[in-house]
Parts: sequence; C-alpha cells; structure tokens
Amino acid sequence: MARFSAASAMGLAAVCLTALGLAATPSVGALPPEAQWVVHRSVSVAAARKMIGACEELAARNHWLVAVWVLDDGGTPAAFARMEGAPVLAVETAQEKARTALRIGHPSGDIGAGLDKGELQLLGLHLFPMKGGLPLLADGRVAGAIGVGGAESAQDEECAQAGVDALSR
Amino acid sequence: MLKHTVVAQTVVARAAVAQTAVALFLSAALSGAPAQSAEPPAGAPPQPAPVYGSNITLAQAKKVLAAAEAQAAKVHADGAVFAIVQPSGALVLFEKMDDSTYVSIEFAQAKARTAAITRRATGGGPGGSPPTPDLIGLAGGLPIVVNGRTIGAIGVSGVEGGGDTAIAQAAIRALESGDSP
Repeated sequence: MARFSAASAMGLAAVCLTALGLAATPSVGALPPEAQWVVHRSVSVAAARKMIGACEELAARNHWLVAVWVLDDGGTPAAFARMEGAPVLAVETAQEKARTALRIGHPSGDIGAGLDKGELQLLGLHLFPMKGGLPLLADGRVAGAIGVGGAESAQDEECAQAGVDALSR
Repeated sequence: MLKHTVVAQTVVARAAVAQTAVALFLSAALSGAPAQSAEPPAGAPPQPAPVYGSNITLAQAKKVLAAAEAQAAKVHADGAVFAIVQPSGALVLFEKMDDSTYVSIEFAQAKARTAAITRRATGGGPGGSPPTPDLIGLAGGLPIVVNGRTIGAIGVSGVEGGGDTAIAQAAIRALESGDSP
C-alpha cells in the first residue's frame, strides 16, 4: 500500500513536471563551455604587498602601530605584516575585521552602526563590528579584503583605506 | 576542597605528561634520527639555537622574506608560503604566493612558530604526532639568529621535493650577510 502510494506520487510528480516543461532530460551538452565556470577576481600577492606597504606608510607617518591582513576573495590569507610594537592581539583583530568586510561586502565598521541601532542579531553572525576592515571591489564584486588593527579603530580604517587606494594608483 | 585538590593534582599530572612528551619530541629531533643521519639538512643546528634576544624587526623580517621569495622564484617554487615570527611565536610577516596550496598557509605558520618556541629547526625527528597541537614535525622551520641571539624564526611550506628548508636557509643567510635585496 505504501509502495503503491509512493509510486503514484512519483507518477503524479512526473506528470506535473512534464506539464511545466521541466522533466525533459537535462541537456548538459547545450550549456556553453564558458557558462560552466564562474570566474573569480582575486587579489594577487603583489597587490597585497602594495596595499600593506601603503597602509604601513600612513601608520608610520602618524606614529600608529598597526597589523594588516589582506585576504583573497575566498577569505584565504594572502599577506600580513605587523609593525614593531603593534599588539600581538592585532594579528587576530585585523583578520577578523578583514573577514567581516569580505563577508558583508562593506566596511566592517558598518556593523557597529547597526548595533548602535539595536540590531543585536548581528552579533550571532561571528562578525567583528569595528572599523578597520574594508572590502576590495573589482567590477563591483568582492575580490578580497583588507583588515587593520592595533591603533584606534578610526585610524585603523584610515590605514585600510590607504591600502585600498594604493590599488587604484 | 577535596575536589579542588584532586583537580589540581590532575592538572599537575597532565602538565608533567605534556612536558615529558615535549622533551621526547625535542630529543628525538636532536638524536641521530634517520632523516638527519641520512642527509643532515644543511644548517640544521645540532644544538638548540642561542637564547632569545630582542624581537626581529619588521625591516629585518622584510629582508628575510625578500630573500626567501627570490630563492623561491629561482627554483620555480610558485606555491611557496612564508611566515616569519618573533621568539614568542607571534606572527610578524606573512606572504602566500599566488599558486600555493591552502594547507601550506597553516603549515608555514606552524613551522615558524615551532622553530621559534623550541629554538630548533623543525623536522629533525622521526615524525609522528607532535606532543601539542602547537608544534609541527615537518621540516621547513628555522630559528633566525643574529649576533648570537635567536630573534625569531621563519617557516616555509609548499615547495615541491622538500625544498622548504633550503629556501629558509637562503633567506636567513641573506640577513646574516647583511644583504638587502
């Protein structure tokens, strides 16, 4: 009885799908080769190095001590540098900020604004709600992120911005 | 009160076991283990590196990294990953070449950290599980010694054919000889 029901349910489903034009054998071959792959833009090590250099330069000029992470489009670490005297904790805060920016596609500090408005559910997403993380955008898509920690968070963000700006020079 | 005592004893016992495990791991690394006796990795210190000095500066770390990258380029190690740490193991400088394998990112950092906190080249031992998750038994981590003091360590990973240590050595030599590439 149970088997009969299942079979008839499947039959009914097939009829419905056919009616919708969805049950035809999927024509895999019809998919053009270029449509089979999604091509990602990501940050190269050369770019990461350049960004970190610019970031560090601004920090040094202002006597800020920072640590900087650059992550690629998948969140994989591409490069890192920590200035002497920058707190060891900044190794982690900088990375968390970069991850946050990467995941939301916006500055990590934008989360903080949401929290100020009482959007506490944001805290459950493992996001780091402090300034200092910025996404890297290529053709409007997130291609990586930079995260800075160690100084005041507004200063961290300035350094991160210097890094982003370096890419357009 | 009794419970606390028992807990304290357990903690002490665990610490003792952990220390013994670390000691065994390190002595294995120093004994004539097959990997070393067959072909001692050139530059692998037969003894612990010197005691710790001041932290490696970012400028020094950059020199080491530049030399490591130059050497990696020379041997076409396009998947190399480099990490440089201070004596405590805290990260100072890191770079991943564009064609590297993901796991090399973890390995490079673990090697640098292991070399720094043990003051020894990594991978001299017979392999097997390291006694703590913080230590790694793979070769490619070397202490960085300047003026008779250990100021940090470098970890290299992702080089085919076990070339990690050779690149680390070339990198350190550049700093010791005062080259600034």
